[in-house]
Amino acid sequence: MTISWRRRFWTPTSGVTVAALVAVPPLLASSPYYLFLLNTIAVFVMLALGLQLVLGYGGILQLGYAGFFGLGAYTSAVLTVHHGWPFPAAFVAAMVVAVIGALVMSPIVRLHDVNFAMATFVFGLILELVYNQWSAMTNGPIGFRGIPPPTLLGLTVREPEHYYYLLLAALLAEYLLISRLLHSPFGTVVRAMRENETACRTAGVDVTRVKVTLLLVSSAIAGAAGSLLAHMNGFISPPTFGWATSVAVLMMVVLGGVRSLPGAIVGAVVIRLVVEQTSVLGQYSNIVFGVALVLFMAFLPTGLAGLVGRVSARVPWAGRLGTGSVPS
Amino acid sequence: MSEALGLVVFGLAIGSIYSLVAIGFSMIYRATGLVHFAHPDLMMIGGMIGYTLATRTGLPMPLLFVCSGLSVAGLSWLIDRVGFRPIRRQAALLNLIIATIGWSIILVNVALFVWGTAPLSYPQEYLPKGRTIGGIVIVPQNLAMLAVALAAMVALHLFFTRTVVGQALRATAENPVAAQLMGIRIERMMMLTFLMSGFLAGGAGVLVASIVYANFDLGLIGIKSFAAAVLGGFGQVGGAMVGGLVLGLVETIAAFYVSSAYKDIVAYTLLILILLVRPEGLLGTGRARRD
Repeated sequence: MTISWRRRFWTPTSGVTVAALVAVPPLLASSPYYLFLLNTIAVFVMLALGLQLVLGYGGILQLGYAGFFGLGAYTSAVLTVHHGWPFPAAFVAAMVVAVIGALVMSPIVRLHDVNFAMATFVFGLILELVYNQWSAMTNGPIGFRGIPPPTLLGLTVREPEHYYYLLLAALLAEYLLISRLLHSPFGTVVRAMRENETACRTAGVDVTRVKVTLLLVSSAIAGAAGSLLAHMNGFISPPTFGWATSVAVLMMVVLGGVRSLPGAIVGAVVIRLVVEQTSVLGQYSNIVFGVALVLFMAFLPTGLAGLVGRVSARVPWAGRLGTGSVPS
Repeated sequence: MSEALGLVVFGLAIGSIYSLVAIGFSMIYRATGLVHFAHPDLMMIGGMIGYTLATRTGLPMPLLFVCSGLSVAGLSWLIDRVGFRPIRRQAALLNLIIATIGWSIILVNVALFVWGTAPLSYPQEYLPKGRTIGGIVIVPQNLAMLAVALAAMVALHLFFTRTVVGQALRATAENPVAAQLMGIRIERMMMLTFLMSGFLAGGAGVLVASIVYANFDLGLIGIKSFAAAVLGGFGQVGGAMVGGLVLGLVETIAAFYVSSAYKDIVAYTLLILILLVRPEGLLGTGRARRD
């Protein structure tokens, strides 16, 4: 099992990809804006991968994902600024608090699909309201300022190009974790559950536990991403952690391709680039988003990854381009 | 005493708006299985159209309600015709639900594009005014809203129980396949569902925009009608009505006695608790779930 998983992950393509990712910052060193953009994209790739796990593979419509992103960001910010915690401790605490948030939410996995989607949606709304209203803690709509850059092993990561490597390390760790999880027996259960929940239950699988586990893992990821975002920008405010972001991350997963890890990455990159480069589409960018979401759901529900899959099924050599994605 | 009475009337008036949107929401859910995330935004569009009509033509309020309702009914039908109907058979429900989120984004941004970002207030003569009768402040508009919602509910009840079309609609919601075998044209019924729910949402939009403001984010208020629909037992028309009124009351009272900043949190928490304790809703009979 382990060996085959390693072989599947360390394909030449993934090796080249990682090497290329490591080499990016020096190329962009002259442009702080592009470095900033790159770092923001990295944070959103983390989120998209986390949501891919729970929504794509688990088939669980988690509509309040950005709320957990916020839990991580605010926990990390409050602990470092108000309580003087060092970054590593605050980072771990951010994940822990996000997991606790997910635990509080976890009773709702008993609910049937529509009620469940509704409950996660409302849970996300509650979290966003808390960020807006609990001014003593979060500084409300004005936003939380002055979050220090992280200090690791005595080094302060201040420059964007250095921060990039911190994000890249987190991202790789996350990718390995998810990909490992999906190739484990647990991953098999997850896929089986998505295909046919009733059959799974009949076969003796504790579906509730599987769902809760997925929710907890994905929330921990969102918490980590939130902490990294907070220390990267030094400033956070509630809209970043609301419905709009939940939808944006959802779109990343859907556009890139449900049940494809590379798909989630591509989706995150494309969506973030479109958001940042709004000058290309101007004020129509969001309308284009909405239309894209509708069209993708209608004609290409498997996203860009599905398109690639269809093409590679026709082109013999394209199959070898696989980068360790899990066959659905 | 008069304060409490005013509070109750206001709560019920707000609740009746939730009810109007929640009824349509439930109808769509029953007929198609969709959680229509764009439905609150249809309400918002209704409020916007109402604003334009009010400033340009100065129509009286009831006509404003009807005109805006009819426009939004058309829009609601169009979204179904273009967006959902062509893919209803082959697309997974999850994908359709995500597509409704796409429509929500489209509607919000179209509203931003057409009406801009600033909150628009209806002309003076449409705004609610309090009148003092025997020492009690009465806001006729609140009572009117309540009356409109109650009238709509009675009309819907009669429609669903006394007319052939209404019964066909219920049959479609209950079991589309069997309904089709009985000769009911279910696509026709779904069209009717989207038209009726759009009308209610558009009308509700005028009501809510006249007491708050008309703005692209008005859909956030409509979102609470989800809560109302769930409270009443998802997919039950009568339940949605009661759910809306209960939610309006709870929220208004919470705003008064707890804090207006936290009233939404109270309302939403209540919603999640009810989902957990009674997934079939306050009035549910356990059949609300669509299999």
